[in-house]
Amino acid sequence: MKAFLRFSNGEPNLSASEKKIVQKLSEAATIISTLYLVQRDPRYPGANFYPHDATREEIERASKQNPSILSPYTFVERDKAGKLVAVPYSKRFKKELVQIAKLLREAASLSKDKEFRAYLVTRAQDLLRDKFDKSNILWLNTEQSKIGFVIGPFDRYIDKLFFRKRAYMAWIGILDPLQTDELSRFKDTILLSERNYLPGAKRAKIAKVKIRVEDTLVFSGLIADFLFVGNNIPSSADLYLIKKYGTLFTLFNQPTDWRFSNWLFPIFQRIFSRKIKGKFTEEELKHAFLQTNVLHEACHTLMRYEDAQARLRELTPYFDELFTDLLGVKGCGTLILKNALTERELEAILIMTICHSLYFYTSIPVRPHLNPYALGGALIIDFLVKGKALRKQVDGFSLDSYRAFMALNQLTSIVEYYVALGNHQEAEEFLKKFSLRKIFSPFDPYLKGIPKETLPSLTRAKNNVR
Amino acid sequence: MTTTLNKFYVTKEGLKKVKAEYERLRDFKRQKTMGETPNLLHSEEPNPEYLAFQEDMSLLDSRIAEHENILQNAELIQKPPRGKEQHRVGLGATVTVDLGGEVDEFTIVGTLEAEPVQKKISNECPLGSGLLGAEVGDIVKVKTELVNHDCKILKIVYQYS
Repeated sequence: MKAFLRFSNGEPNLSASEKKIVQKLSEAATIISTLYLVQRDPRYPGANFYPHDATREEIERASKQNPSILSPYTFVERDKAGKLVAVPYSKRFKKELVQIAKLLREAASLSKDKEFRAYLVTRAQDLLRDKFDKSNILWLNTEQSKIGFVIGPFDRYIDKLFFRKRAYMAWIGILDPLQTDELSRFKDTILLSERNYLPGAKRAKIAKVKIRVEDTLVFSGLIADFLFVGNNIPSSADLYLIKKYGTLFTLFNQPTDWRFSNWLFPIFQRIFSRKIKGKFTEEELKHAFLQTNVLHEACHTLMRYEDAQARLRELTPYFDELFTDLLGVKGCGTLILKNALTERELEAILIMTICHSLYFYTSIPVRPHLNPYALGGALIIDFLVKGKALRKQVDGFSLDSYRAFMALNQLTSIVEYYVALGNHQEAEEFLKKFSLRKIFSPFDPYLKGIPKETLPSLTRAKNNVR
Repeated sequence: MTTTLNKFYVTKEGLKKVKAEYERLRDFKRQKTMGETPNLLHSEEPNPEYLAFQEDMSLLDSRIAEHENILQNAELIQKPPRGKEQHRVGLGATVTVDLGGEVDEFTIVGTLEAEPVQKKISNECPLGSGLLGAEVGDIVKVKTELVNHDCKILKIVYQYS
């Protein structure tokens, strides 16, 4: 198995030296995929970050003596005496990281882009010392760079035990300036107002939220496994950095097209009534999907409940991802009142939110690690059905957009309580009330023919490479 | 580019921009027509260059006419006289509101200058039209087919002269 995808999107318009740079970066991304596969093991909640026989309590106890046990950049192992010890990524993967750093420095020496060069050189250093702040700050200056490249351990999704350990990933893409301009304006409009938060929120104005849209060339490591359509760096795991320096979120054209054409649009055609199907074009829905991605990524930066991770622990992604989706939909209401979004566009966004929830549901059998997204989707569907916004008719489901908007606003308030104040036990009890099978089963007959394997298996995806 | 009672409410700055664009379009037309214009016929077929030229001209003429109409019907947004009127939301007011749990600030302008991303909203959009005439402390219901929000007015400031 290889956690590596190369996207076929024609010959990108690159100079000879830029092609060489991409070649070097691809080699680095290939190596990073092998590190990710060492970390990944879906059979265990703690993946391979912790000894498989170690309990949560034992790890927590050990971390009190030695805090590096729960550092985001260490493996936890047993020494000869059976005691838990922390091994830094940079030590365990020294050989591979030295190789990667060399490739990054070589790519930097070929680049005429000052900002990009500085970022690559610093990232090379950071990979060898397990500290990424310096290069993450420099990454923020590369928003206009033609080549986009991220490499390192960032997202925590495969550590289901503590939601702490970062998994390696890399991506390479080429800037799409037109889409970047358009979606940047949309993002600016979303982030104009300042939310009122519940007690416990840290008041902060995010420094800068930048956006870039890329034609994706390569995904490696965790991002190839999850096939994200967008990603924020620095991520919400590094909120202190975001607050001071901002964040840059990247939207990926090819994975977005892939998900929309193969799953979201076919799901739309299968589940909705003739009336709804006749109302929206494929183009409109695709645009709505792009907008939902921008809403989602932009709203990640609106998270202010810094202690949520300590309270909710491994449940954090369930609430974080759902809360982000809901904030995005809620924010659309204000945009409509300002004529910055039409009601028709909001309806299309609601439809794409429903299709996206079903997409995650269909992906669970093959990609169980997408469970937080699927459960979030289940809550959305449950509230829409119970709020009589989504109703089964003879020829498919109908949607009452007014009721849908109200139902999702209600769900936002409920979810915000858990994110702001809820403890682990009550959050767990809340989630237990929602059964994926029960909520989604009315949709099963409509989803026949939708590929069970919603994301390409990483080996099969090799067939799609150039 | 519709507006109430065929009037175009614009700020001084906005009016300056419309005038400048009008002059630019007229100059551009002058330059286009001063040079050699393509012939109608190219052998026996209509000359495609002539057809394209005509198309460009009619587009230019309609844009010039549009700008003339704006200039003829423009009404300058002015700061209301001191006293009660300055405590009411009107055109040109910068308003701070609590909108369904979000604190938002924007200036109410005519449709011509509305640019939500620049915090300028139109007096004809649901929020702009709903707030006109309201005072600090008022709670205004702003409704569309899908959205229904209570909007509390926190602050009103007039910056335009």
